[in-house]
Amino acid sequence: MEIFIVALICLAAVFVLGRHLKNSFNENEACKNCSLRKSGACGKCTIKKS
Amino acid sequence: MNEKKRIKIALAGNPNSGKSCIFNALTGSNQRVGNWAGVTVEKKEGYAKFGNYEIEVVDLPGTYSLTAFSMEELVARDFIIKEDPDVVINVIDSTNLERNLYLTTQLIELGVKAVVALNMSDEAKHKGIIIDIRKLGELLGMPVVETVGTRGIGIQDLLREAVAVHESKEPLSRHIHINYGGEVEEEIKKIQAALKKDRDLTEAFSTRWLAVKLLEHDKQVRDDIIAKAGATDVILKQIETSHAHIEKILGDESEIILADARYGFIKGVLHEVYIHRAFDRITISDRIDTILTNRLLGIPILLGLLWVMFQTTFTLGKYPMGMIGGLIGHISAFLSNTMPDGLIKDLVVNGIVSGVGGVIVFLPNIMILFFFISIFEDTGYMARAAFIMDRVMHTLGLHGKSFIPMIMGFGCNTSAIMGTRMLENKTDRLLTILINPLISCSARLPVYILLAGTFFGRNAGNVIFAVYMTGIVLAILVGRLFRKTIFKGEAAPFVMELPPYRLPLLKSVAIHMWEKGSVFLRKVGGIILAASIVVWFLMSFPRTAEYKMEQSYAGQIGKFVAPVLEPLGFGWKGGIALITGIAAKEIVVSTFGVLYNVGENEVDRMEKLQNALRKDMTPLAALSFMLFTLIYIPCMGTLGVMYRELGSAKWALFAVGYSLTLAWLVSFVVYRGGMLLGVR
Repeated sequence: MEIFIVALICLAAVFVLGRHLKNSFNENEACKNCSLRKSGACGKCTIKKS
Repeated sequence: MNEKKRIKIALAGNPNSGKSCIFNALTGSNQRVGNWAGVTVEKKEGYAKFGNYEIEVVDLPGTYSLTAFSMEELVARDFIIKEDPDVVINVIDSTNLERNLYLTTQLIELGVKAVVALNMSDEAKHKGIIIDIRKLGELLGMPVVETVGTRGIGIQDLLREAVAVHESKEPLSRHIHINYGGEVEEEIKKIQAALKKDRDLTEAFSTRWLAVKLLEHDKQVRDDIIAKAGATDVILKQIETSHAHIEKILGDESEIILADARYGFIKGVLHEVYIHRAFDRITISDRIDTILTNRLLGIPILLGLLWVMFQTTFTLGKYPMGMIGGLIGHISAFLSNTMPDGLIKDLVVNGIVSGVGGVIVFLPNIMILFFFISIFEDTGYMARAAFIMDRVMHTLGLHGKSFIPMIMGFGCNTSAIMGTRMLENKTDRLLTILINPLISCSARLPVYILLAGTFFGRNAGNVIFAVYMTGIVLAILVGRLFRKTIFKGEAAPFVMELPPYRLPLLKSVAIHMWEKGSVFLRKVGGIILAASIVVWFLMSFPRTAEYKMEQSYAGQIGKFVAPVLEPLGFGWKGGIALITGIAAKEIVVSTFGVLYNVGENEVDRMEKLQNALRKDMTPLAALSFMLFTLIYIPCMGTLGVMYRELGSAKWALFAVGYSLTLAWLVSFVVYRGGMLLGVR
């Protein structure tokens, strides 16, 4: 039982790291259609879209 | 009856006109106020309410005009033309009306519904500038409201006027024409007549505006005309004839004639509206600048301030760091004493608490660092730092503007790389992005504090300062090398705006510190926690009867990379820490926390970790490790943003390759050179 819980926690940790890696290379959805983004001038974006 | 109405307002204004403050005051957003030119090269949106109106507020990039020469101008103009906001609020620095009104003249030409926010009106009054705002509104054809963005003064009046303008209830609001003089006006009419032959064009834009832009050699408008108009030949021929005519009659290029006419209009307006005007007296900002941007004193003062920043970050941070460390120790001892022995206890105490606890103690240091960065930005000193470094950068063939993203890199390389969008020239931008990771970000600070604190005692602050300076020097040298080899050519000239010094707002500084602190805490609770668990797993398995860490998965990976790292003075544990640190640099410290787990009942875990490190490394090796951490592969977040901003994996991989090579070479030279000199 104990090894099962530990295995689950470790898998979850690997998942978190994997997601971080994926997110690092993926563009924020909210930015994709932004007109400023398209012109290459939006800078550090602070928009939080719901 | 009380149905909500929605309108869209755009904020337009010069850089440093206080547009961000007005935006914050309108929307209640906690957007930080920066001071150097171009800090708002970004789109910010927010919402305000006034009466029945729900108002969407869009903060446009700070620009001096709308002539589409720079990216900011193009963005602002495109937004106003294509997104068609209901009202434009033109934020103006009251202390510098002449320059700020140039943008207003262009808004007048665009024929948009607008309100002028005469911002920093308190500073203007303090300087003895008194303006007849009613008269100014009449002359500009748009209402004028006095505001003080930093204190929220005039904001409700501004919203009231914006709504009145939108409802066409404001008597001052009217469309006016700036008169460019007989000859030019004649040519404008001729171009308008040619444009009117094409219906698609006249429906989309004001023909007068198009004619003025075409006379100004506006490339974007010309390209649009060629793409859209049917009667292109007639229009282009008329433009050529008009250019030639104006040049012949008035003896100068048409865009200069037009700009002169606008300034003439502004001078005329100001002559009417100034009730009292202070004449060019030396301001306090001028006096401070004679010292801070002095040719001889500027750089020593900049270095001195940076030294104070890193010294304070280390020395002042030690006390809360010790308290948090003690708390973590108590938690660890408590868990160790109460949890039953087994794998889960091992994971919690030696994995999670050792890893996360090892990093979280650096929260105060991170916040102190951002306190200083925020003070530098909000007072206006950051712009001076860029100005001072501009001279150095130019002598090295680099763009002076490149130094702004480099300074931003002290905080986080990811946002600094985004900040390179302010550079118009693609080559300058590529070069600045590639060297940016050499600027030590705050994520690397815990590594330096841990190792410098362990090995350099009272000189720890100086060592951290030296490591940061090494980053700057390397960035400049590598930039110079790339400029000479890969990106040949000279940097484009630019004008660095020096905003007046301002007292930093405590609230703004506190928000900035909290934002960065919470980002750090989220990282601790996210990837650092996850990485600590993974490192614990790699270190704890496979579980053999006679367990030895060297035989664990972590040990095997470490042993694999050890031959490359041994010439640099650090062994396989350092190798593991560097590999995991690629995900995020703080993980280097959490990995040390897990690898050197220091006994389950130890309250003073930091001291025990330091003792364990001293057994494994010499001070020279620690310095070599710090330099390697400074230079080697950027973190995943930075690599990701490099990949996106550079638009290809090729350059991101190039950054990985060159940084690894450089890191190894620098560490090797320092370690082996030190050994030769008898240093240990």
